[in-house]
Amino acid sequence: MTASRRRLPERRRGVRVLRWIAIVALSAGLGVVVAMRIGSSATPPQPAAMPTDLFAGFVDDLGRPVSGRSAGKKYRLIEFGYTHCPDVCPLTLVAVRTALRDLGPLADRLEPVFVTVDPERDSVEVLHRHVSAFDPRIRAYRGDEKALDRVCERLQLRYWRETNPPGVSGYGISHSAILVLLRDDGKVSARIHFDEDPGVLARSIVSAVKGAESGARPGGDSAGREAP
Amino acid sequence: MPRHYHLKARSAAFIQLLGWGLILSTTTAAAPPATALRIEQAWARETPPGATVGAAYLRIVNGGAADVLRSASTPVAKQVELHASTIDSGIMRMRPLPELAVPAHQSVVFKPGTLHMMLIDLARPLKAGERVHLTLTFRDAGPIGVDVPVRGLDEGEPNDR
Repeated sequence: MTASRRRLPERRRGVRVLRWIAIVALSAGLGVVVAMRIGSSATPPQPAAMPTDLFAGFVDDLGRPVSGRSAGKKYRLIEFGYTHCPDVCPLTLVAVRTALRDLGPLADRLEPVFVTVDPERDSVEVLHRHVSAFDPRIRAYRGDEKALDRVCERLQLRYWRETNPPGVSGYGISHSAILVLLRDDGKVSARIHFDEDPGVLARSIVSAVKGAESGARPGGDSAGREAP
Repeated sequence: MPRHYHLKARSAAFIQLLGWGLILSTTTAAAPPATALRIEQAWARETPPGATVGAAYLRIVNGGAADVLRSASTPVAKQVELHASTIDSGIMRMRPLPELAVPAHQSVVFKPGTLHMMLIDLARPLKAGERVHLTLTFRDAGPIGVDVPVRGLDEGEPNDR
């Protein structure tokens, strides 16, 4: 009896020690998790938090500085491109032109923007003549490398200059062919995939804008299912 | 008197040049039936005012042995390059091709978003409704000329494709 009585407190003591170890380990783990969360939320820039400076340093095709918000428009449709691109860029602008026509009154809420990835050759005047030929409602933005890099980072877009083989004149620029539908508060409403058929691409744009308007796709990230 | 004579000589030279031009153009016009290569559905996209580059598209139908497209030229641009556009994980890449194989009994199709002829340093913008001349030079078939209609931005590709 006495032996068993003595053993019991020992067992209890052991359980208490284990309990303490568990508590210490759990709280330490929690602390690490909390610290990691705080750390990770502090590092990446938050597009929604600071929408106004996304296009800081850019001027539009009329030479006006671009503020963070498009005047009176609810959405901007961001297209990367350059005027020395003879194939994919004009094709995309044709699709944007068609989409503006097909959107009807909804087009008033949209400002399509051709962001040049070739500020070296694309002056404000060149850009204005270029986009106006497709539709006078299409704007163009021109910014330096630093300004472009910020947009690339926030909107997850890319571009780089190609080194052409000898004998080939000029240079080409590889760039994202994705269109980004951007809400006025800086949030990405949709990412629209390129299509070789401008009619298909135009329909993707129209459905992305209509989807964003009806709230069917809040923060959705893909409208074009026809991507190659 | 010498000036008058000089003028005459110049106009004679001009007429001679015209003659040669006529002979040359008739020979190039007569050339296609001699080869198994046919150029079909050629078109170019209208270019915005001030544009220095443009694109032309077409289909090369090869009814015979394999050949190679070596180069292309047009009077409306300083240079024509063969380009391939590719879309790879959302990125548009364009690479110039030194030449292009035209396999036997096959067609090679230049169309938007894929293969195109890039017209570089346009002398003037291409206007919808006009026609520009394009000469394709093949390794075996030699030069083949084609009249390329310029289509408006809304027209896009010809429907009969």
